[in-house]
Amino acid sequence: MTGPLLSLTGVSRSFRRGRHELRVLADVSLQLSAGEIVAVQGQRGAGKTTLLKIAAGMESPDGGRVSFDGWDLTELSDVQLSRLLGEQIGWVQSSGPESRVQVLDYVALPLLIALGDRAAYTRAEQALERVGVAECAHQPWETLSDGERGLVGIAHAIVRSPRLLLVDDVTTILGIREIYTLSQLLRSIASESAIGVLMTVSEVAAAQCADRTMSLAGGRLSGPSSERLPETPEPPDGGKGDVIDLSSRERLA
Amino acid sequence: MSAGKAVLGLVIQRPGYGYQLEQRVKERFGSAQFVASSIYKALGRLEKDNLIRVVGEEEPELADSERQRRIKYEATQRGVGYFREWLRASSSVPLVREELQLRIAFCEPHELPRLIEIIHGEEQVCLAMLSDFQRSLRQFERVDHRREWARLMDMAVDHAEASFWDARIRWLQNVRVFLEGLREESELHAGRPVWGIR
Repeated sequence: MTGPLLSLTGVSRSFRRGRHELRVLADVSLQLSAGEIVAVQGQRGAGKTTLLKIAAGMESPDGGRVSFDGWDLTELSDVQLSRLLGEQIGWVQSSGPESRVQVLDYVALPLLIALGDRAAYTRAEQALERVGVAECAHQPWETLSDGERGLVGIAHAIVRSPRLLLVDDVTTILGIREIYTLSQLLRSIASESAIGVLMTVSEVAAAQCADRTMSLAGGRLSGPSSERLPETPEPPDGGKGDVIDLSSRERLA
Repeated sequence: MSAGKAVLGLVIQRPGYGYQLEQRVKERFGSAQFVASSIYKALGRLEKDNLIRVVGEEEPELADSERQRRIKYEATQRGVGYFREWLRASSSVPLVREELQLRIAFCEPHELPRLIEIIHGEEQVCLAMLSDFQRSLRQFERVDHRREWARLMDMAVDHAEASFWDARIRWLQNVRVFLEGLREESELHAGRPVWGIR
């Protein structure tokens, strides 16, 4: 494959809230390659989950185009979309199963029908091993720490060997150490398995594994740019009046 | 932020005596922590540059003979033109917080679209700075064979650096979304000022 794994072009999405129309995505474009990690920072209600749902084909945009591996998601049937989501796209979220469900059962669940018990559980054990929480396999979900839940969530998503991982704000409640562990894991999964990772974060501090960090606010998805608007004008006296302080640029405090 | 721009903006808003301007600067931009001398120095230079001019002086009362004469300033056309041009321009490095606050404080309704773009540009520059930082982290990790303890300490420092950018990006987002809301309201009402605190 030569093109991007995931491509969003001119995507827009609005919701009606009472008398008001809330525009959460306005002309949003984004490309993600295999093996690349892109983080999207946004505050609560900024539209991060909507962006991921549209990227996964779980929700249709009002306008624009979404393609996965060259396939236009807006043209696929529900059955095709469902298969795509089941086989090629992994979804990681902070919420988990019923509190008493065992970790191994939860991770094996996506494969039980397709592969049968034995193969599904073997793959689930491998996935738990891969993310470094094999010792939690027989614990109920409710006994896990927040950091462990994040890792088990990743195991649940990668057990089907997807090509795209969508990570929905799982770092919000984690501490520095847990964020570091999770970041390292996503980095190695992306590079070793050539999986594209699109992750949303509430704080950019949680996006340290990302190749690119973008921000979503007011419907706009912004990327890094060093391009500047026109320079500050020269003072009328040609710069002699240093009170205007044009020559000595103050750096960020 | 220079004291000069703060003083010039305030004089444009309303002429005033030096001591009044000193108070107004401190009230409005207290976090910039200007000292009184820098404000009076700024007034002198702004006057020399013909950006403000003296419009009145009060002789001190006899009992106050120790004190200096009170001088009232107003902005010149040149000063207004210069200030508004500065307000619409951007700089080659991320603006200091106070400087951006200054531009917001003196923004006129017709300058709103430009200010929104300046703030959006700042967001993108901050994201670029963050990307540079993240890239350097990864390069560093590849050659880092130091003790675990040093890595743990680095984690805390890296988090602090990223948190700095996080706070700045969030503030810029909040301000931009707020200003975009005002712009939309203005457009809905065909440019007529309809703003109010709700």
